[in-house]
Amino acid sequence: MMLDEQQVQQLLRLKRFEQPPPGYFEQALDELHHQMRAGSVNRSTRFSRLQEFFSNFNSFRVPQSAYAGAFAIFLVVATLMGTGVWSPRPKFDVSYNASAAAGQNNSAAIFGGRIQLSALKSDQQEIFPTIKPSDTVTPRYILGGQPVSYNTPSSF
Amino acid sequence: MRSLKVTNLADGIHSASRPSATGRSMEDLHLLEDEELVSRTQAGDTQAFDVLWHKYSPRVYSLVYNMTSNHEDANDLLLEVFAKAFRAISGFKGKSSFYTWIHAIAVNMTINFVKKRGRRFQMSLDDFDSNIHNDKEFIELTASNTPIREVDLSELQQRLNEAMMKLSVEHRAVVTMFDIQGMPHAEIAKVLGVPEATVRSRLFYAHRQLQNYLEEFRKK
Repeated sequence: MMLDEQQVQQLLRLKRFEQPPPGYFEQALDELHHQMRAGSVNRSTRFSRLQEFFSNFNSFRVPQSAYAGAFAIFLVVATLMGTGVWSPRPKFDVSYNASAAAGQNNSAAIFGGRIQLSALKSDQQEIFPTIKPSDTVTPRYILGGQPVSYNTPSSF
Repeated sequence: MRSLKVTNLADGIHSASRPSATGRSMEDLHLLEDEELVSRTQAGDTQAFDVLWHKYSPRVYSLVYNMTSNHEDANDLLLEVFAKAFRAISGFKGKSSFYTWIHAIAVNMTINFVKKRGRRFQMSLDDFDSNIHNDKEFIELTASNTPIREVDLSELQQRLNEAMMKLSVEHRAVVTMFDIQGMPHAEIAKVLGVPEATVRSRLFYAHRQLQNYLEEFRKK
């Protein structure tokens, strides 16, 4: 005969009679005090704070107003950047460097094997990106009989 | 006057009727509600935490013991649960009862422990209280025409615990809280942080499983 569900539940309820020996909970409390005294001596304050932080972390809830605040900040920053009032990057003047090209007969910004693509002016310094000729690698693109770029060597 | 042997958490002094940090004796503290005991503990009155231990350690022990079927593991976990509760009590905001809160800590720690332990475990069972012989349900079960009548008490205990240990630890937690500790579905749902429907379905499944497991034992 199989046990029905009610009998199973009755059987399970008998498990509440499984009890530790008398006096167990008093001894266990003494042991808890002992462990906590030992633990409090060994544990540094920093560790305690870290542990407290992580124990409180689960109960942390973002307040509703924080979402509205974050969205307002986003709108202000987007407006400032969109209107050009504020830009996080330094401005560069990417206009053509006329003085560098003047001595080159306006054919191209190529002189003496140095190819000058443009001159970038910042507030502090001028930057001239160049492509240097090479004797060891073959030209990749040729413009007006002159190599303007080279194949990248495969060795590193 | 009732003699109490309670040790202060901070200094380890045995204090029968010694006033607590807030000027109350242990007898007075035993009369306080949990909310008051928690706020006193948060304020540094460690004797208030001792009272919480006296109120809830038997129930927490029962929960952990019935989930592990091992007295030594239950002892270690009980101490860890209360040590953790003491460390974290400053963050306890009272959104749930202390009882629910400490049960949640115990269930989570025990589930983690059992999963780490894996299959490497040995049953180490507490004895049945002698009052079981006076229990109405026990008398009814052993008197009726059931397989239980055929087995002695220690064999019955062995079979019950073996069947329990065949359940997953999550199902065992629900069975322990509902069938053994008599907690209502809603309270179990709060402890586990799951809907009540989940608690009911886990119970249904667990009871079916236990019926099968206990049937297998009967055929041996």
